[in-house]
Amino acid sequence: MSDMTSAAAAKAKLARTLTWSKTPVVPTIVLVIVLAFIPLVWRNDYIISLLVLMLLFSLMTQSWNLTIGMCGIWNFGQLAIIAIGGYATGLLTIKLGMSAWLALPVGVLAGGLAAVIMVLPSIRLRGIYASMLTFAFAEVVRLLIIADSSGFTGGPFGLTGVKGLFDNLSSSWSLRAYFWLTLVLCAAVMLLVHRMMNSPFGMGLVSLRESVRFSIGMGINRRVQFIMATLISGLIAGLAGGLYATFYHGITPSFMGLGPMGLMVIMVVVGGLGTVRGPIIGAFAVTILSELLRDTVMWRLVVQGALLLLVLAFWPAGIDGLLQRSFDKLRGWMNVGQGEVEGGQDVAVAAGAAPVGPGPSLSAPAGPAAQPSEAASAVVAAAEPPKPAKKSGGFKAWLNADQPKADAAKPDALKGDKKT
Amino acid sequence: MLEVSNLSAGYGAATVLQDVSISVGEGKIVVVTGPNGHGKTTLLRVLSGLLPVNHGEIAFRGERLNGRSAATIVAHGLVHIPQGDLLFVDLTVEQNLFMGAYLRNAWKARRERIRRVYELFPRLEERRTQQARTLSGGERRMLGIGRGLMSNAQLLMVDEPALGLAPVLVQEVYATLARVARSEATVLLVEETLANAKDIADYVYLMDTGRIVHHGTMAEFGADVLASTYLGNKEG
Amino acid sequence: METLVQALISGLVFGAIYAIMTMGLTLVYGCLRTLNMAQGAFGMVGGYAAWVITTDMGAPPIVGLFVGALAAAGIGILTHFISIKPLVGRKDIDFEMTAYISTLVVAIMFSAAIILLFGARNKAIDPLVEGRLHVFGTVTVAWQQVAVAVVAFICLGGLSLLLSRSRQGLSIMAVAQQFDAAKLMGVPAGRVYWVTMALAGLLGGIAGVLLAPLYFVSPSAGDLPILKGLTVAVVAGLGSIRGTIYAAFIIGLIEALVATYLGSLWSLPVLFALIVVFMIVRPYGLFGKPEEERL
Repeated sequence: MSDMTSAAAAKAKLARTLTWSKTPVVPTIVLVIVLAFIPLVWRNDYIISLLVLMLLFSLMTQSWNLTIGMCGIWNFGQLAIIAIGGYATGLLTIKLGMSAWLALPVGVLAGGLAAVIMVLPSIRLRGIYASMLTFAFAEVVRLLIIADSSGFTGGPFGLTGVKGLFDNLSSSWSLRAYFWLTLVLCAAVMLLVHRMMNSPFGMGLVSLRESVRFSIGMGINRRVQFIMATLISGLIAGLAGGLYATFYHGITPSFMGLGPMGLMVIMVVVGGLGTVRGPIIGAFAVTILSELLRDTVMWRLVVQGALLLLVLAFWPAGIDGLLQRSFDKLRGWMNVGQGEVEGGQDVAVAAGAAPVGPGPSLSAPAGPAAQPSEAASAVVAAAEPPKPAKKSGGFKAWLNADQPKADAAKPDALKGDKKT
Repeated sequence: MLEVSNLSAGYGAATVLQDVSISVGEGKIVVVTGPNGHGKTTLLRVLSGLLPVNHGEIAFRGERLNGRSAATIVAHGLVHIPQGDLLFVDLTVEQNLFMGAYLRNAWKARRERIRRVYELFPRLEERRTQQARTLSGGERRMLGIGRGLMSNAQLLMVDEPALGLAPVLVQEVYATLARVARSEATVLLVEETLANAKDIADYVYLMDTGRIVHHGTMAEFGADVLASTYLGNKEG
Repeated sequence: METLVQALISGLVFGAIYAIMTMGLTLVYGCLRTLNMAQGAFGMVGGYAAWVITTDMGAPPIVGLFVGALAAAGIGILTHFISIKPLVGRKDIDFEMTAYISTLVVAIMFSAAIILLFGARNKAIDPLVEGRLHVFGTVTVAWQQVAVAVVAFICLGGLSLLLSRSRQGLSIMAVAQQFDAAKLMGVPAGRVYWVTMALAGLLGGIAGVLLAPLYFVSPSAGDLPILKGLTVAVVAGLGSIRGTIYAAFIIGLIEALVATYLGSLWSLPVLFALIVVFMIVRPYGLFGKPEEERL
């Protein structure tokens, strides 16, 4: 009986992370078309540029979500990958005079390549070591660029004068063109991610996330899939970077700094990890928050950081998790009377909402534990596995085992007392 | 000295101990025996505060101890010597022993207490500056027990003192426990192989699937009692 | 020859600093199983505190050292309470990863707060001691470097005594090595945690103040230290105190040699290469134990 509930719960849990069962291509296209009207009716260029920024961030967070959310590997080099895409695109337009449209695909490829290079050494490593490695990669790239005095990369001041995609249009129309382009790309990536997560490929990766602590035991298949996911993530990141560079006509190494990295972390966690909508929600929410706090520039980061800490403490599943839970509760009310299924769903909601938080759901037996029970059960678990009912067979076996040992311990006593 | 009444406890949702009642008189050696996995270690962990109590009462020398923190329980003199020693392997023998006297009162008196422990376990004194990881199995067991004695323990709860030791060492450990019980503290033992404790146990509790199914003096627990009564009962 | 000696001296000084810098990481990892990404920020804040006391308020540099260390210790405790303690003991998150992110975000927040209070510009701070010591030939050592090494050794010595003799120090090691047993001895885990974080803060602050005259006081002063600290920690084996000291000096020497003979631009890639190599070949470091991988 417990088996059935747990199977139903597991299935429901998996369903939680895959937000729709069928890729909603048509609804998305409709949504895109509707949203496309925004810049036509809205005159305020500033708002439009803000929207473009949000869409760019969405691309970035979605790319990052592929490795964190799906594979459970916190690769902190993502901004460096994005930046590499941006620098590649930028440098090609500046140094070689290439058109931005030609340079952009190169940026995409550069991002993919950089991502794979970065991640290769860390495949066999435990989550935290892999993270450290990617963090080191990003920092080294950033510091190298800052230290570059040859003028090739522009050093600490970054690249300027990168060509835009729509330079031939007026600035208003160029802005709107960017909006449409990023909107379409964002939607396309979202559909792609959704597709991926629902495919056997994706589900395999999600299982990887759930057991990433055992990553050393990864089979070859998983590793290849992981590299592929990283590659795709890198391609998207490169795209985002290239777009960013052409949109802002430049890129600087501070883009890769801890500040922007922290911002992305906040976006991804607050939005909801490992889900399709989470990164987008996060990107929008945090950017809006930034805007509201625009005048108090530096308080911004403190407030956002505090937000993240609060989210981690209380709602590790992020906004998307909250939405999901309310949605499920709603559905639960509507499905009253389904008995076992609902029970499964509730369990799944509880289980599904939580593990989608940072990292795998397996609690960390090694982490310090405040409550005695967790520490005891986790650390000393080997000694006394909690089995509800041990069969009498164990008892009998124990009884019988007692006799020979008794003889061994006391050579002169009761030798003749074998079991009856 | 220790009165446990109708104790129920477990790990989260899984209840392991059901309605367990145990009594340990001062100066006695009491053994809780039974097959592994049936709750003996869990019992000690609940008593020492590592696990919470679901129902029941734990009274130690008149004080009610359920729900108290591990540190408080140790301060009252109820000391749990865990299964497998759980030594601080990178610390020296002496450092391990000093850690046993962590509580403030014991800490002040630690040098005297360590001398008494060294009297009981001269081999530990020989190895006092060696790292705990370099000790043999028997020596580790001694260190574990010695460490437990360093606090002002009134009741020592020892979990599987014979675990992993050769028979000769088992005898030595039990001889030491007997000496401890006479001079230092009351002893509550968890021992899977009752025969090991045959010579020193005063009272025995038999635990099966988290319940106390029989208890009595060691004399009553002769082999035939176990074989006939329980084999018979379980047959059906 | 003289270049070599100069490089070696540099290396020793680097090593001493790295040892202090990384020791905080090591203690926190050993005891709280957390990779404290705010360790660099501790140093950064310490530097600012020292700057305020000395340059702003005119106190002598040695006072700056003490104040910086204490301020950083306070920040360490703060970090514990806002980013680690809320995560302890929870079943719904992966503690190690979450604490890693949490402390990273806190580090960023400290930077932002500092910019808020002091502006983003670098600030200069006077060294503890001025001038250079002539050793022989063209080999000289800045007195500041000597001071750094001396302070570092004193700290390491003091730490070693603290950890091996004192009740609190032993309890930190005990909690790090065998959490359950420590509880059974009456050690209050909660207190040990924040004491360890305070200690990490103290060490980080000292490192930060010692480095400040060389590298300026700035909001991003913690970036490089955390990267180097991670490198040392990985090579040493997370949580190994002995390993940290050895690895710190090895890496200090390597870096000094690379900087001298290949140019300082190379030291970063070499650092990264070191991390990569160790992670692939020996992820538990020189002194870490394989069984501690905790799969």
